[in-house]
Amino acid sequence: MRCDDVLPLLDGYIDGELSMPESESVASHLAVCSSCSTEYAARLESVSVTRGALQRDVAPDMLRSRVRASLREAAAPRAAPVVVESSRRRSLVANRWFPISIAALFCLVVGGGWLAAHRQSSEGAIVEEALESHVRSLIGEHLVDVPSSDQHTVKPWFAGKIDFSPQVPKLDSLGFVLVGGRLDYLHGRPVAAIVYQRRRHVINLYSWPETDAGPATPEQIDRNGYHLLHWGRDNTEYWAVSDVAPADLRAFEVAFEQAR
Amino acid sequence: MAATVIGAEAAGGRLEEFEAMVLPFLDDAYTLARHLTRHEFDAQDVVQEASLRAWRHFDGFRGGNPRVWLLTIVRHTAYTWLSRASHRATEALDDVGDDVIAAAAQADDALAVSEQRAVVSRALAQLPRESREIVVLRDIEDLSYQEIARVLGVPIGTVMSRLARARQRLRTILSGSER
Ligand SMILES: [Zn+2]
Repeated sequence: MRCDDVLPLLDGYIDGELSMPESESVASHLAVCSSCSTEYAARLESVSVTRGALQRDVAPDMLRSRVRASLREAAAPRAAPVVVESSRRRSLVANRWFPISIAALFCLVVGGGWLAAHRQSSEGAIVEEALESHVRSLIGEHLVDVPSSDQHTVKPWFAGKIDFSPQVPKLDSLGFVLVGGRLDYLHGRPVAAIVYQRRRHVINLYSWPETDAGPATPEQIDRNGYHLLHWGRDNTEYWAVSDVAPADLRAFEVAFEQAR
Repeated sequence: MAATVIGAEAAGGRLEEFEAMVLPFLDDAYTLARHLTRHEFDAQDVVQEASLRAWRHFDGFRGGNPRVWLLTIVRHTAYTWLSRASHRATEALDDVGDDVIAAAAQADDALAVSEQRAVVSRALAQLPRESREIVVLRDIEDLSYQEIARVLGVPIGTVMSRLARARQRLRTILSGSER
């Protein structure tokens, strides 16, 4: 073999991709040709540096959830997800309220516990809606209306769009990076969704004014790999939704309450 | 609960089969998409879109290597996506990018194990796409020449010559950055 024949085969030789006879010819040429073996050594070194330095990425958990969610959406028997989504959501709520209203009536007749039952059922509806909203925000391209890591940009953005001013503390130093804000609808009213990121996970924090906001001690709800944390403070209702570890979501609530 | 949150009933076992076969290669898909788009969040969009495409064409998938199959779809999706995205690259969306990139950069810095890794990554990002993808497929994803040929839709001889050229380019950039 001549040098001109060997040079185009060197990478294949390095990768062990040559046929046996080819590989043997290259090897015997390298043993006698110093210029080709210098070239070979240089290529080999560079390839091993590259292979050692570059590693496969790990797909973010958020991506995994998005892919799974969108696959389920796509595998559902109906098409046209946007149109279907709103009508489906309405019918879901309607279906859920029907038996509940009978139960509520029963409680009222029996006396006592009506408020509690009502509160519980409306809380159930919020859980569903908050989860749907969270998942939708991850699937679509609509995570934020106002993308910014600056609370002085995010907070004023809500003025005029919503009847209260949401708390938007900066929590970067605590590992919760502000990504932006979004106007959303929960519980039949516009609410503020403030979006934070913890490593690769997104946290949606929903808030709106509520005279009967609660509970003071955060309540954790786990659904389908997601976690919700719910609390009330100063006549404001807070719902945080994410797939971060529950401990991280708790840490988020503590950081938020301390900073706001 | 899953069904009520995410949608109507999933198409049962077929979807589960798809997920079991394809989702284990999500890291590979994301890696290729990230190097092709050079953007973490664009890569996520590409992988999501590619997964949906793969699902839609799952009936046409007759055995073979699911990783190679998925990577082929990811590559096509990324190219389509890039051609679609190029006209709006400098528009308002960049604001989204900047914030998110800043956050992502922090995370990346924390993860950057070695100086060398950062240097090589940067060099790779400078390569033209044709060179970049083949280095990713061979030296990160560790595909065989045969598998790369299938992903790229070219003969093995082309794989060998393209790879040699791509590595040569990478070497040139790296030797320049040493000084
Ligand atoms: Zn020679």
